[in-house]
Amino acid sequence: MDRSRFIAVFSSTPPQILEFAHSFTSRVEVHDCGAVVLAIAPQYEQPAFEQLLEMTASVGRLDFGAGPSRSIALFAARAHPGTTVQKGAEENFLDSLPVTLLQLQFDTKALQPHLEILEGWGIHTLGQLARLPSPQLAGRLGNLGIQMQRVARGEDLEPLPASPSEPVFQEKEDWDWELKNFEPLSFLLLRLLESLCQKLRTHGLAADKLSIELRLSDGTISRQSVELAFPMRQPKVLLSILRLKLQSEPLESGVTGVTLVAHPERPRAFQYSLLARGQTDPEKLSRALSRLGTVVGEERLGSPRVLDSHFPDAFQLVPVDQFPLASRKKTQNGTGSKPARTPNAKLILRRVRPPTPTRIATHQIVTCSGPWRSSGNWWVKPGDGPKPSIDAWDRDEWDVELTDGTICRIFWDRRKHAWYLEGIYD
Amino acid sequence: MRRSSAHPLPQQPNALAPFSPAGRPRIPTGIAVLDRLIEGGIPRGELSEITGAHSSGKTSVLFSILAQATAGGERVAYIDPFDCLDASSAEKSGIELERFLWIRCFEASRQASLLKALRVADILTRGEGFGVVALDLDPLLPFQRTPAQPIPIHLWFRLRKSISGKPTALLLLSRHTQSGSASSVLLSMDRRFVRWKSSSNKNRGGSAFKHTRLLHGISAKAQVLRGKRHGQVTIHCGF
Repeated sequence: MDRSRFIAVFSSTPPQILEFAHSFTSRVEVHDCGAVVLAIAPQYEQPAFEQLLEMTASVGRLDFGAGPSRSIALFAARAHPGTTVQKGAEENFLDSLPVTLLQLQFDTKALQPHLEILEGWGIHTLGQLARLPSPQLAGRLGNLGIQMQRVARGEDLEPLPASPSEPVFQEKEDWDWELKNFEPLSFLLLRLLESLCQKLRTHGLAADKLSIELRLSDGTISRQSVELAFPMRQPKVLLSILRLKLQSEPLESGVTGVTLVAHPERPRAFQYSLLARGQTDPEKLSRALSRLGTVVGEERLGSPRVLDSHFPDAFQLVPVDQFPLASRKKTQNGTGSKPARTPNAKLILRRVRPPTPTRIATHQIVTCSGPWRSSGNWWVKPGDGPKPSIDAWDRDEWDVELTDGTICRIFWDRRKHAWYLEGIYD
Repeated sequence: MRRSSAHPLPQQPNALAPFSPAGRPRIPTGIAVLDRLIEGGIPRGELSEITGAHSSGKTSVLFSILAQATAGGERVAYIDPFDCLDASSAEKSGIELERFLWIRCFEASRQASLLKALRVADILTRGEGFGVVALDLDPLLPFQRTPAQPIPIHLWFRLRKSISGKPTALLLLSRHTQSGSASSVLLSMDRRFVRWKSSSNKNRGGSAFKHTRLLHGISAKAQVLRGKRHGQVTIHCGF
């Protein structure tokens, strides 16, 4: 038997009521009719009521009621806000309430025909409905009629389950002194990260993004975030990545407080093989990639992709967080690599980026091949696009062998009327 | 029964037999004749160097090695202080670009670019996760070739020590030998001749410039200057 007390609250600001409800109990429900219903131990009913009364000053009008069941609490909140129905007094309370209150518990579309039938019978109150003989009611209104009668008697059709609130992975700390050096700050950050990672571990989650808010002594707030290549929950690895991020953007004044938020994500599961070469710890790889990003810049690090464009040097750098895991691939001979049967290697072009103006004397040329005309994006004015591949180009390309043995690609820019060195074959 | 020393019992192979250093896996170059010369490929856990002048085929050999590594499911890193990678050539050479990490560490001056490249190489060799780390120190343009402070030899020994025992191969690409005795394999590339392919329209008039030719490839001599076996082979780089 559920000895809990139920409180129903109708409000125009449900999120604040939810927060209030979760502070008392995990058995909280947002009912279909919009009310927040919570089940609490009897000794907490009075403090909850007092807090609700205090909240009316900040959130506005609140209609709330309490009773020994969810149904009675809802009826009390709607019909007589502020009423508390004690156990044993349900029949007296419900006796005179209108049957239309059943719309709080049932779908209106399904309920309406039955309400019209009850109206035709002269049944106007919940008390009258409750006193009807159940077998005959079932025979005329079916299962829904029986459910309506049970609710009219103050019974709940199903229990109120516990619904744990969304876990928040956040750690916050403020100090009375300011930290000017990174070493003491990293010591405190490690402690916060250990607590965060423990919470993540408890919920079976990992962090795929870390947000850090630093409150500075001059009153300003510095906010930064770090996207992680893989969901992880190792405090020391997270600290080293956070350290690299913070050191790349030095602060102008000391730190007096910090808030760390971990964005949870399900950790990746790795299926290792006894027969394959050992896999790299993704957290170590992520740390190395973070260090590289700090040294060369995130925009200069990535995996190239050739774009579908006629422009000769059209490519895109894909960020490293999409770097796939290494895997052992099966090949024809089963050794994990292509068989060394290829007699040739592909001749590679080494690009000069950007192409540099050049002058080649005729006597320096041994052999040449061309011209091969290439042009495009003629509708774009020079300099309009953010990248060279978007600007218009119009060139005649040549492959040239020089007397010193160099084989290079040059082009005549038909717009600028000049020769450029595009690259050298090697 | 007393065992005769003239007839020792045969050694049965077992799981606890000592690991032979010769059995350390290597990364094949993808060029059969070259693989035979360097005992199957580039050694892991060691520093190797490929040198040669412009258009000697050294970059083609490097990319062939990277293609073999990515085909085997490994990640590769390419440190590019002179920003000379052509993504299209890399793709055509067989490199799986999703396993290819391009690190563009060019700076305004050659010295700054080299320092940054060495720093990146240090980070990669200390870490894990890459089958091949390639460091391209071959400058293209005259200003990039201006004499800079030479790279101290001890840095190469330090890098070699960082990858020692790891499954990562460190490959250095350069015009002139940089690593000295720190490298276990030194491959020198020298272009022999260029192959041009004539189209159906033959040149008329005896002009010195035959505009109807297509660049077909180059033939280069690959010589092992340092390694367990010395020798040379001819390889063909083409389209």
